[in-house]
Amino acid sequence: MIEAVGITKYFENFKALNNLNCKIPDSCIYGLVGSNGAGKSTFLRLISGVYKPDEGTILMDGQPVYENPDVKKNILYVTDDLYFLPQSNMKRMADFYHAIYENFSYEKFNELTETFKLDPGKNFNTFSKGMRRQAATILALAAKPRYLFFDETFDGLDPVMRNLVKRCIYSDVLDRKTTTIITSHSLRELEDVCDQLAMLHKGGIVFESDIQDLKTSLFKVQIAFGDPFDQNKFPDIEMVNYSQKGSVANIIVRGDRDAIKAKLRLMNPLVLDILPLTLEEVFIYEMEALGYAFKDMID
Amino acid sequence: MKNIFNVKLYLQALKKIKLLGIACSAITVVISMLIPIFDLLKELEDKRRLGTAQFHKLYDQANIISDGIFSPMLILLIIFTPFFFFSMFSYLNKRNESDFYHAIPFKRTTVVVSFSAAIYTWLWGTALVSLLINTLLWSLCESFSFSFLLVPKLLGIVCFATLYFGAFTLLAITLTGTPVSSSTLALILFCLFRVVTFFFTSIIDNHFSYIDLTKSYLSIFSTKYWFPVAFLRGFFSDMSVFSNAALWIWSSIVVIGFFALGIHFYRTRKSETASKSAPSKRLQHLYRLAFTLPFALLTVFMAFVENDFSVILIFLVLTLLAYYLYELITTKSIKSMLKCTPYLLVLAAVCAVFSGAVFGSFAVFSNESTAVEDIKEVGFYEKRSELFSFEDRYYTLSYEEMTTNDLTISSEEARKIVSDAWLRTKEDSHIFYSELYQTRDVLIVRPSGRSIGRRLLFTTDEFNRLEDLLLSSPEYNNAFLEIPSEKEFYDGSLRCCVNDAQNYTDFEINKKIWNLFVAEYNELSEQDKILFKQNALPDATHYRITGRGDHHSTAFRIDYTVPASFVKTIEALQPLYEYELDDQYTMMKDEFERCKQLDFKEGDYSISIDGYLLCNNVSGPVSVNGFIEPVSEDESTRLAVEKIIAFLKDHLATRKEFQNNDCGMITLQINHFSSDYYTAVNIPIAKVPYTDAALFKETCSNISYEKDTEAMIFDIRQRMKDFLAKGKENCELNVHFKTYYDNNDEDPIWFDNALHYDGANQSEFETLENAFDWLDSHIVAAYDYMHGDYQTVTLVLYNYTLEIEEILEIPIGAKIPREDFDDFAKRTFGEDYNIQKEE
Repeated sequence: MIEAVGITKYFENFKALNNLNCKIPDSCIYGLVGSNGAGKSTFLRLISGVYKPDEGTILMDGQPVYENPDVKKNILYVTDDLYFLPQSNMKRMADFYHAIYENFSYEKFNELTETFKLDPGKNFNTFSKGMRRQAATILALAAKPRYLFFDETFDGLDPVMRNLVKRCIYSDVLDRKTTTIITSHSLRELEDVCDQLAMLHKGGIVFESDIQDLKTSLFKVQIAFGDPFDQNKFPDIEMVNYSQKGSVANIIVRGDRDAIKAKLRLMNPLVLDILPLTLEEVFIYEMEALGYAFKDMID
Repeated sequence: MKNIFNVKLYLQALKKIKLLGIACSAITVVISMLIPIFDLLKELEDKRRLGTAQFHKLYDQANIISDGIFSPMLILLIIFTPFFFFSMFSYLNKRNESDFYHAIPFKRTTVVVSFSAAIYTWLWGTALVSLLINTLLWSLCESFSFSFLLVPKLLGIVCFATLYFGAFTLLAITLTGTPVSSSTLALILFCLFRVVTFFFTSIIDNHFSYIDLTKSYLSIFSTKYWFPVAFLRGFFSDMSVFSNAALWIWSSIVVIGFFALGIHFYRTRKSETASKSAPSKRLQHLYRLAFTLPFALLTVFMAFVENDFSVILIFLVLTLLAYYLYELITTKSIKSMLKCTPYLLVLAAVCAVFSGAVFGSFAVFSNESTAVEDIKEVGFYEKRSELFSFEDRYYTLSYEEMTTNDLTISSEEARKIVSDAWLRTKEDSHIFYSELYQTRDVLIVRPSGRSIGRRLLFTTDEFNRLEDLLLSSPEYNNAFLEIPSEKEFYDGSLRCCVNDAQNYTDFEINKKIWNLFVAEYNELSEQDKILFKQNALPDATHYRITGRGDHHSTAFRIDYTVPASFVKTIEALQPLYEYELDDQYTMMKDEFERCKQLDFKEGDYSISIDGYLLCNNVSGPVSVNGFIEPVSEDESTRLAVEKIIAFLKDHLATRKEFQNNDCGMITLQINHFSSDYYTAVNIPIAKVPYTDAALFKETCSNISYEKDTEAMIFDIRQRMKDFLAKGKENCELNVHFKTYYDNNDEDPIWFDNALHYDGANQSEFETLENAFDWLDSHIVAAYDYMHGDYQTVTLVLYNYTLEIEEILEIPIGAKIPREDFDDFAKRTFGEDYNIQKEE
């Protein structure tokens, strides 16, 4: 488990992370979303042992990360701005990873290069941005670390490759119980891949939840009655948001979907539709409920 | 160990800099090989030309390779060292690369040590391979020999040098985040301390030039202890500088210290420093100040030594430029550049502290006591180096100079003489060259036992008396008559030779000869020993023994001529050099034959016997144009040559006379006009009666060149007219000449003057014409010119319109009366002409 307690990181006078706390359980895919400059990459660098926190502690399975090779050998951090050895190709990088990550598997590497249809002998200089991203993912997965951190990893990938990468990450988590953290400034990218989501804003996690809970606990109700009504008509329903146009009300409701549906049906509405929310909508409503202006946080 | 070094990481690092490593190895090894290969090819060519038998006869005793030529191109590794470090650690300058390497599962110490180890594997591996190849190649050269001990010695020194330069580079890289700031900081770390101490000691030296700073507390700043200087000096010569223990101790401290700091700063380095010129604003200020400090101190230096305010102002502006440009280049921000202005006060404060230290030192040296009671002992010594000289300014001391160097006496009279001279020197420290005084470096021992060195002004009487007092010391005499022991010589440096020929004898044979020589020297009487040491024994032979060595960490040289009375030594030497004498004699006879064939048209010739010039500038007509030299007509030349050849033919020395050094030498120096070089032809002649030699000189001197000279002087007048015609408009003319006047039959005094003439002004031009009239009327007579009795006025004309520079040299009379000279000076320079006494 990754445990960050009271993490603060300064860049000269700028406070990039401010007393950040979080716990990331094993074998989950943890999505970290936030606007540019929110502190996502800084957080990844801190938990990868690249940075040393100015305040607070980061523990992985109870061990500090910074300057601790025993912990760092289980971590692989795929940076946003990728780096490969100069004038190298995937084979040379595999050789390098093999030297520094004891679990590196050539078998897995070959399998994935085959899957992604990349030529491991070709110089990286001839690779497109997307191919370089795929290569970095292949190398990271072939290293078989316990912790995999991807920074903006879907950037530059076409939809097909994005899905392939996601599939590979899923299967790695399923097969090896890898704990994976993926950062993105786009919620839609993380919606279908993460188990847990956290929102980083101005150096702190402002919201964290299980993605399934998020999606199922909030839903939209479209309801209409023959008589005039307002939100006082629904005293027993936990409303996160209420809006009404004419005789039709749109209500964002938290609670058990079937129970609430049954309760509303008993009111004999003219129209009753229960609609699922997109993750983005869930976030908007949850954040608004917390008092944040959500649109300021996400691009 | 696991946390310090990792084999897998090390192997990866080796691969990382593979390209640079291969390039470095290839360049270094190949270039290093060229020297022995050229010698090998030359040897093969000699074998082919001479035949193997003759070749072996000539080269049966190999020439010893000096340390400096065994593999001098290993110096390239020193140049490559920073490149290796910049290449290996370049990731520290890019954010993504820095993150990548800081994320890998190794302790940072492991990374930096393993990466550095990879760098040194390439560098030291290249050095080793290069040295082994050179060892093999030199071994194949039959005409050379060397000590195998040289190989590990060279390897050790090169390896240490790469460590030294690597340490600075690593520290600079870990403390910065861009290539520009890394390079700048490396340079600052490398030389800032030396620059500061250089300016400090230079100001002191400039102010108290009679003080030998190498014998003061400032001597710790000597370049003797600065490895780069010692390395550059020693690596290409005899490496004696490397025998200085203090150099190694200090350099090792620097290397260990800088590497330790480099590793420490790598460990504590923040990855986000990448792409920033400094890890923090505070350090950015510090780097900028450090970068600007040399410029600022140069300004302070100029303020101390130069009275011209405009020069100081220029350096001040230069300092400000350096200050702001550094900030602009490293931060690429004009805002940052402007915001750093207040920190100029810190720079000013540092300069103020520096100046305070200088004034403090001034006070210390000004107030030093010259009283007799504060002088315990005195003696002469040879000042051989300056604090900041790149190498010893003077030659290596002879063994005698070295053994007697620093010897002091405590005589009351001697101390009084030194005390007086010291006080005089302090009061008149600006006098260095005076007819009234002579200068000498004096070692002064204080009652505390501390030795200091002062260059003092002595009257002739004082100097002679002090010298007598010193020579009367038994200790001095014993030291003077000492002779070096065999162990004191550097490996292979002890050599025997005949005349100036190369040494082909084996070192072991030389040592045996040396021991014979020492035994025979010890048998001499004390008086003869003194004569021998003064090179004044009458029976000197061709044979010489030379060598270099080290006596209590002081380098010395010997060059002893073996006297004929050293029978056993001569007996040992004679068979070794029989062929050499043959060769030399044959060669000189060949030269005589060649001399007959010279057509004397390609250049001019001077002829001398045993260094005594018989006739000068014997030449053909081709040399007339463009050279203001007396030249002979064809007929005159032919006559001179005829006389020389006839004289040589009659007096050519025999082989025996030559072997016994019982002969003279005629030298023909040939100046080749076309290629601007000269050669000398030496021909041995028998010792002829003085009358015979005088007759030869007379016949040579009687060859008349006067006619040629007159023609040439006419040519000079013509050229003066042309010259003046060119100088009418938009030009500047400088007139340099030296003259002297007869001043009641006292010794002539020389002057040097210059006229700066701007041709724009017609009245000035008329003045110039007057000057030319004067010069024209004083052109030397042909006879005086031919006999060298003249002086030269040099006119340098810069014509700005035509963009040409022309130089004209006019020979005028050697002795011009003062009144006449004053007339010329007034006409040319006006009333305020300035005569500067030549130093």
